[in-house]
Amino acid sequence: MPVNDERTDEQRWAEIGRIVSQVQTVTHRHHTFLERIGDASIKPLTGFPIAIVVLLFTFQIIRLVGEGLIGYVFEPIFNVYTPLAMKLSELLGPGFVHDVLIGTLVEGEIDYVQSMGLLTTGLFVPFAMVLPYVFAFYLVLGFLEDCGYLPRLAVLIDSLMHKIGLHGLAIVSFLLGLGCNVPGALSTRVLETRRQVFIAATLMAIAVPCVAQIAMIVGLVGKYGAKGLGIVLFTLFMVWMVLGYLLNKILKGKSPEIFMEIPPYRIPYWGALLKKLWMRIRFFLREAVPYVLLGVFIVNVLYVLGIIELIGKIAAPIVVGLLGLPAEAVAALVVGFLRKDVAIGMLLPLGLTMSQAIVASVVLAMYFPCVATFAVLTKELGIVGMAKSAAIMIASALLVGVLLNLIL
Amino acid sequence: MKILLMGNPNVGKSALFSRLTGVNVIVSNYPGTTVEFKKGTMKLGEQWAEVIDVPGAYTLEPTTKAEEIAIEMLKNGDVVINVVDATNLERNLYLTLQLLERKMPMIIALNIWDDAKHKGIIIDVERLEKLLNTPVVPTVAITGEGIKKLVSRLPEVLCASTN
Repeated sequence: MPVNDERTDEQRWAEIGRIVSQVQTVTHRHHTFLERIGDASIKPLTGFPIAIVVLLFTFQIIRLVGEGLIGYVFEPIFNVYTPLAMKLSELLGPGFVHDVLIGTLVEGEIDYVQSMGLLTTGLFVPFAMVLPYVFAFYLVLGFLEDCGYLPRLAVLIDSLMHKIGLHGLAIVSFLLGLGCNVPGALSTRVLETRRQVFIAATLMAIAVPCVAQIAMIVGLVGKYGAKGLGIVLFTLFMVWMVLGYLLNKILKGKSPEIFMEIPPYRIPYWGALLKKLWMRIRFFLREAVPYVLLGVFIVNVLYVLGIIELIGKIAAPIVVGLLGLPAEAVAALVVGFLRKDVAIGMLLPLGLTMSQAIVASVVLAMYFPCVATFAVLTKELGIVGMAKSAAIMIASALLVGVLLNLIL
Repeated sequence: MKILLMGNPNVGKSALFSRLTGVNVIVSNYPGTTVEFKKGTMKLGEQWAEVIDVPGAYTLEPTTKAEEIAIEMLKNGDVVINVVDATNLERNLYLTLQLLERKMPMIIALNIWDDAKHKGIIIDVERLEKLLNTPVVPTVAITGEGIKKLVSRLPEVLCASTN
């Protein structure tokens, strides 16, 4: 039949009924194995245990792959590279160029974590400390995305998410945010109201550290055992819940119900999975690594010009007095705006105690987003929304930092 | 020449986009993966056509920012490749009818055709084509099945649109 002009809703559905009854036949068949798992992962009784197992598995695989890559691939590569860098160091001799490229030698040797040169720490941080975890994280996330588990997790966690003014679908944004806050913040566009977008984006910037940041926190706090890292992550999780609860109470309006279709489980297509992993790694290499190098460069310049010392003196009452950190930690807060992984790297040589390392990690995660996330958030929330969000970030970071300093 | 890839969320628009243009985009198995539009080009006969991967939408009345972007794109398109999930024909036809009502020149990619077969869903493609009065081609975007045929039938709607 010829199709003319706009119809009403009802007319459209009637027409669809007519078409479908003429073209489609559905034959009988039994539930497949994948469909049975599909049902089991949504029912609360079986769904929550499945979710816990999935998350534990995810965590273990990321750790295993990340640590494996560091220990067996990247550290050996840097061991081969060290003599070359030392040769260059001798050639350059002491001076500004040496400080920028190689950094400060620790007991006559290059220390990749402490030297802070472009060709030492500037390469070691992104490639040997962060990239392995970026790889591991996106490997597992890609699998979860493609098999179809995420929408099921969304349905399962829906009632919890309503308590923080969102609905289940937002968990997908937070998981993406764990990889990198930039795509995470963009993905909040699938939420229906501006209120939801504001809450989700603000919570993400404050309490969801990206994998680059987590990798460096592992390096900073991990040497005190699992306890330190546990406290950092647990604190951020509590901030996420409490702040979400408060925002939901304070902000006007309410959040709509989840409206989402659940795709069937599919066995991921390996070609597509690997391509996606490669795209994300390339994004990291192109967008993140230059900023890391820029960050290391700026650190050097700021030190040489004495600006870090100046800011340190001004901010000392807050940083030293309230947060209990050494004055040098201020430099990390300045660089944190550019790249958080570099900022946490700057804390490594300071010889922090465990509680100082925890306070510094949490405050750095919360106080402000990195510049790339900041740009996306401003675009999504508008300038006024961003200003409100930033006020919440700074206030909650200070509050939590002071509390942690008192407790620990 | 602007070709829009439109359809409900999670029907394989981005997978089809990658197939047509060779431009890599993130493809996942959940609704709402694409929240921005992405451009690429493909060769159509002698000329190059611009292909745009549009965020998924259930209707032409937007409820989210991603859908707003989708509907905004519609104003600038010359032809729509309407990607329809063969395993959810009924629901997908709603947007299809709305697009037809707007008289958008359209070809339908009846995607996820492999899954429909596995699920025992049989669709009479020729009949559907007649009823909608627009070309329908079964496809499996993730593996590339049917893409060649889809592209070879594009000129049918292009001619109709210029006349």
